[in-house]
Amino acid sequence: MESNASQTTPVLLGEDLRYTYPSGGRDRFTLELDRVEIRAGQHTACIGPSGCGKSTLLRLLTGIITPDRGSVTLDGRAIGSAPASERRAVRISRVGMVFQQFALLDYLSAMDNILVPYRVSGALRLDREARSRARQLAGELGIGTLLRRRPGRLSQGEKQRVAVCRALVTRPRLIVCDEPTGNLDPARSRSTIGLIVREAEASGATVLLVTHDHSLLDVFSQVIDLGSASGEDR
Amino acid sequence: MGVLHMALRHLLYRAGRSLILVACVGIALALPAASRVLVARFDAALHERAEMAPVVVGAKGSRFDLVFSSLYFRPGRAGVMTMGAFEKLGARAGVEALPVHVRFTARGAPIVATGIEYLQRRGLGVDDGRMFATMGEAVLGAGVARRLELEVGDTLGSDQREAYDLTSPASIRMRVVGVLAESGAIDDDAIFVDLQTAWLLEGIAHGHREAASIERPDLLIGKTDEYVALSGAVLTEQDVTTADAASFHIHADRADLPITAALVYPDTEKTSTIVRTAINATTDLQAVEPTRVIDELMAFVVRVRLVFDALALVLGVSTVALIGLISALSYRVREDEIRTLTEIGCARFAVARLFGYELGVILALGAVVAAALVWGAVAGAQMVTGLM
Repeated sequence: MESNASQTTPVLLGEDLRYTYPSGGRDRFTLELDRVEIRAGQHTACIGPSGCGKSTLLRLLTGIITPDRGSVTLDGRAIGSAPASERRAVRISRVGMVFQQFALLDYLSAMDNILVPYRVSGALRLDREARSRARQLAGELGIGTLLRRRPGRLSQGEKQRVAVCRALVTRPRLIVCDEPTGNLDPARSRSTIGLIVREAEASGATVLLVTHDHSLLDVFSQVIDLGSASGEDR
Repeated sequence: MGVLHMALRHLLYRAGRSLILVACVGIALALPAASRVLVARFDAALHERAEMAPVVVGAKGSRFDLVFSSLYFRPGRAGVMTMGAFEKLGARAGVEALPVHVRFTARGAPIVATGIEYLQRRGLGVDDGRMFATMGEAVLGAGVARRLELEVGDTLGSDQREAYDLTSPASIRMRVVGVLAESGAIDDDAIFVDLQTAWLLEGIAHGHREAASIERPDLLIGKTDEYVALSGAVLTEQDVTTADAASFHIHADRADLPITAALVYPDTEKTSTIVRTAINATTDLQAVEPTRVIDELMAFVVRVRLVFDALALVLGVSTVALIGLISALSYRVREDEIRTLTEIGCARFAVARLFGYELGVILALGAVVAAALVWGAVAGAQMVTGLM
């Protein structure tokens, strides 16, 4: 996974980040990070023990939640303090997401699941080209003949591919994966990560992945260890 | 369209739940709508018919029975008045009166004995054949002809009123000489005959057959050149054929012959008042204004409808509660889906639109079901009552 990352502009830049959960409980959790920078093609893994804030960091960096302090710039657009509608528009057009349980909608066919971003946002236009790209991606990932099936009739591996297609179909700049291999055995985890990274590179996207599996880190050119709150170029 | 597509897919995926909700909404909407539409249609149909005759005169008794017998052709309820009383009524200045006799049926359809004047006043013309001219001839309403599959030249037997009463008048076989053009009114479902046929049905008139002409072996005991011996068997059917029509005659004073009502057309409101006052002063007759009788009836029907409305309100509230409960549970069950849509960056109101569309489609389909139920109720009521 060599990259010329240092020569390119950051896809994602987070600076002086601070976020405190508004739970009010006795164990109020605060996440603080000086700087996160991911350049184009610089696939990045975020690791750390459970509860250290990996998923929170992903949500901050993609504008799902806003930091109490600091700034986030995604593909050149400051989203840290932008209005929710703007953050949504940036997210759906420039970020692809792969969730832990794939989060497919059980009432939609595989094809409709892949096209969900187009159906729920006015920022994207569901046209012939979008459908064509969805079919092309599905074909490349070996699920081209399963597009009419609902998730209930797909295997775990097939669901995973549908989720990857959904993340890539909008040609995002960043693919964000929240522990997508959480329930998989080591061999399958590695093949899944390989698939995501390979497809992201083919689409010109950069991967930001949260994982607790250290055996996968050799795939990534940058690792953010929230356990020590440091970034390390590899 | 994108979110609507998802909403439709979800409704199809949860087809059982969706159908139950659609049915609940449909029934909740149909009940009050059907009661209102039916009452309104009944009101209009009854009033339209009631306006046909300003005054109806008949035997004292239920004014509802009198009006429903004479105007809506419900046989066998009203009492009788005499032709003498009718002719006396018709002789009044400024009054035109039409006799009506409705006491018998043929294959379920009312036999309405009246004069040609009634059909002329109603604007009823024959579509096929001719008007009745003599005893035993019948002109069918278009609906009756269609339902009984009868045409000109066929015969039609009257219904036996008392199957086990051997003294009751026998069934009469009538000849169909005409079929009326479709009128869209209750006249379509009636069989029109002249008054003499009604009196034949009453058993007041009869005919004679030449004994020598009877050839049936079960009736003919013996026959020589000088005499004919016939069986004493009771004949349960009488034919009024062209050949023997002249032999039919009435054994009664014309003034005593019965009719069930007189439709009265006074020339002025004043004449109407005078006639009603005079008739109602007698001991055996009553004069009623059909529109007022129908107003009275509908006032009662509207009170019944209010009970239906109250029931519909309860049903509506429970349906809204059911939909609310199912929506709340659905929202909870679909929290993961909502979170996914939010996190991938759906539009601000996409989730609300998704749920809104689902509810909207259920309400729209429920309205379609309600419309179908109301239509069915109206069609059923029309079939059962013959009104509307």
